[in-house]
Amino acid sequence: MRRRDDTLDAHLTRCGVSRRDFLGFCSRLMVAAPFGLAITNRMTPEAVAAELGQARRPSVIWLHFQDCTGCSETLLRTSQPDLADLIFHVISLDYHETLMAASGYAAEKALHEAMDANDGNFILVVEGSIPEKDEGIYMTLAGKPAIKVLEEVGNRAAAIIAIGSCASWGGVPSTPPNPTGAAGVDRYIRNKPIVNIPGCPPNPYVLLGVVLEYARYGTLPELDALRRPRFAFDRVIHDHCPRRPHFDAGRFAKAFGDDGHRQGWCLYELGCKGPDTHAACSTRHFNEVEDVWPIGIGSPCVGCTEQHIAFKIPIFSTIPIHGAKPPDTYPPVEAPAGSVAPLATGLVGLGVGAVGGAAFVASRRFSAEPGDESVPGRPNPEPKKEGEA
Amino acid sequence: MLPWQRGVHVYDVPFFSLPFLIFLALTLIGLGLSVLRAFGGLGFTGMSDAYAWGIWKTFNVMTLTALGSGGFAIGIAAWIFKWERLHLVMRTALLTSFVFYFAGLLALTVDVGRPWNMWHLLFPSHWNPESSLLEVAVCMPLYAMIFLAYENLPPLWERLYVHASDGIRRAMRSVFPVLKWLYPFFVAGAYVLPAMHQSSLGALLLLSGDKLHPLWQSQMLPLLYVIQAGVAGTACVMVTLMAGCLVWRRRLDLTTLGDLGKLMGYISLLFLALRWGDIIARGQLGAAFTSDGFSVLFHVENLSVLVPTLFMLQPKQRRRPRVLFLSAVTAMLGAMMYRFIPTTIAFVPGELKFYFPSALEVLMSAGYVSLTIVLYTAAVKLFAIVPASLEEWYEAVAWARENFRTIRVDSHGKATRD
Repeated sequence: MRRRDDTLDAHLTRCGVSRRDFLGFCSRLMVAAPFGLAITNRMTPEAVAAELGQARRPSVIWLHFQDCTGCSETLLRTSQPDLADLIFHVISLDYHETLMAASGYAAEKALHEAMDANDGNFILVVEGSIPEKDEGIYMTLAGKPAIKVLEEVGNRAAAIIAIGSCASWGGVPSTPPNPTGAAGVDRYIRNKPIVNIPGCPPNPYVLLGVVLEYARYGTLPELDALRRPRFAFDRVIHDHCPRRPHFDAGRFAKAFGDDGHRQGWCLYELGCKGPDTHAACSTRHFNEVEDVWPIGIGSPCVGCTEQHIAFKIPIFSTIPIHGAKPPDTYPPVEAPAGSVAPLATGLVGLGVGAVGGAAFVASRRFSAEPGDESVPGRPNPEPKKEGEA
Repeated sequence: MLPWQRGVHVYDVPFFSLPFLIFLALTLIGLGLSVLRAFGGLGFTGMSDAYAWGIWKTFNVMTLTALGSGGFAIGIAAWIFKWERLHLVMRTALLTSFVFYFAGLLALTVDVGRPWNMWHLLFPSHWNPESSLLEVAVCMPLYAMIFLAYENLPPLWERLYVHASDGIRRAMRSVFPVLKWLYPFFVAGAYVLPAMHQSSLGALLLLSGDKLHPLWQSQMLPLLYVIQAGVAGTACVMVTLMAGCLVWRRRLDLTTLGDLGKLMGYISLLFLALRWGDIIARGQLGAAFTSDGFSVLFHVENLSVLVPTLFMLQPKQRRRPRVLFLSAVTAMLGAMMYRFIPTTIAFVPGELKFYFPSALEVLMSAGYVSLTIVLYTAAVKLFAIVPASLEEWYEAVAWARENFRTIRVDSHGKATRD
């Protein structure tokens, strides 16, 4: 039996989730979204937990349109918190077409029940693009075109989160010539706050951060011009890429499997879009496994979080670089192992010999006893008392 | 005849003498090769990924700035420990310090991987606080270009005053109290900063861990480096002074030179005590008495500091010019070895790794050394720096009056009416 006005604290206590587990979740959230989110902008996991505990578990309805379910997959593959924790404890995922057991009429009934229960208060998560060509006949749900479904559900939501590049601005289905006229959520819905979390797929922690922030404070995080939350999309991948030193040193893999590629050199010349792609992939890897992200496994970044790059520019084409790039005259640092060069040895010997010889000759000229006036560096006689001179 | 009393410029020799021209040519060759490095890269050097520090860093920066610590060591002895007589050689000490730091910084500019980013040093917003090189990179230019330059101002000021018109003199007189008021602060800063960056040079080696041979690797490295900079600096000032007397036929002042020798002896004694105490405390005494090359190097290095120390601690020996000179040269070479060996020879980043500088690298390095000589000789011919007796000062003033019609001051620096 679900109680709607439960706070997260009360719910977790009732379900027997230990405080230690909750603190662990809060720490991971702090790592995933270290700044830019009001809920994680605290000194300790305890402080975050205290804030988060006050939140009411948000009701989330999840709609699928023209998609590959990859965004749901990335949510399924998140182990900390695992899916069960996530949908039962942290949020209240009331409707999700590919995760729910129901089908047919039962599914449709579930959607309407969920909407009625939280009318105007639920968060709508949209996955996949929406076709508009030919009155949207290319995708229908329960006999209605996708546009109609989106309008119907979206207008009753409190806020809409477009997850994935498809829901953000069309993604793969909108690749020219765009046979279905696919487009993102913000093309159809104007009167609701919309957050785009592009990516193919995006990092599930970004979704979680946005949902929890909204649940606690009723506000959305700061967005950029493409409606992406700044806390996750404020820097380009290139800035924090682990292969950046190779870029700066001018060491590029030229083909898949060549020596440079095997040694983990920069993938820019293989078409990496990292220098122009705003995303946090280079610092927050997927599935909580080290180096699980495209560049980490040796594949160039395709720029999936950028409207003008992914599925528009071919994967292996290079993009112009606007920031610092290695100059053409960059000095090569490689040098063969040193060896004793005869000329250099001669020069060193000459220098050492000159210094030694000069010192010896000079010392000979200092050899005079005090008072001897015959040498140039003649010493002064004993100092006399003041005033005597 | 009195001993040294004040700085007198070297007035009766031609500015462009033959040795000066030779060193100038070497300098120009070195600077020319720097251009080659800027466009051709480091490929012509013997450096590799294992030995990222070539002789420009290990010799021109780490070793020669130790020689340039004369202003630091003698300054502390004269100002803080009130060893008044050492003020006589202060101008020489400050000038040698300045030229060594200047040439060292120039070498560093050529040596760093991305010289076009050097301007980042000017703006704290562009610093990388995580870098272990930050302290040295910021502190060295700050010391040389501001504090040391300020300390070197008086000879320049005097020369300007002597030749300036009345209006400029009046302006200089009105600025002078401010400069004088600021002077102690700059002097204090000029002792804090070298202590910081000379110890940081030692700390850099400390970071290299077991790449460095245990006879040199020690947690005492930062302290040893500061103290040893005092030995090197004092010895270098002695050598410079005595060689100058020889070349320009000045008289020696054995009392002052003896004082310098005594100072050097005391610092060396402290250095040796700490060095050996550290070796014993770390239980590395055995490594010092094996038959490999490193222990030989270690003993050569130590003896060339120990022997001069033993001589310099005897008042009788301090009155013999040849002993003074040879002790200073030996101690200077010993101190240079203490800088050079751990950064290059006893620094072994891996088996079968080897670094030997290429001929061009050596030439460039020699160019920067020549630059110090060129700058020093040019400066002592223009400014009153090398110490001499008052008698020689009067002779110099008389000579200058004949040759420069613009001089309108008497030998006390007071304006004359003509």
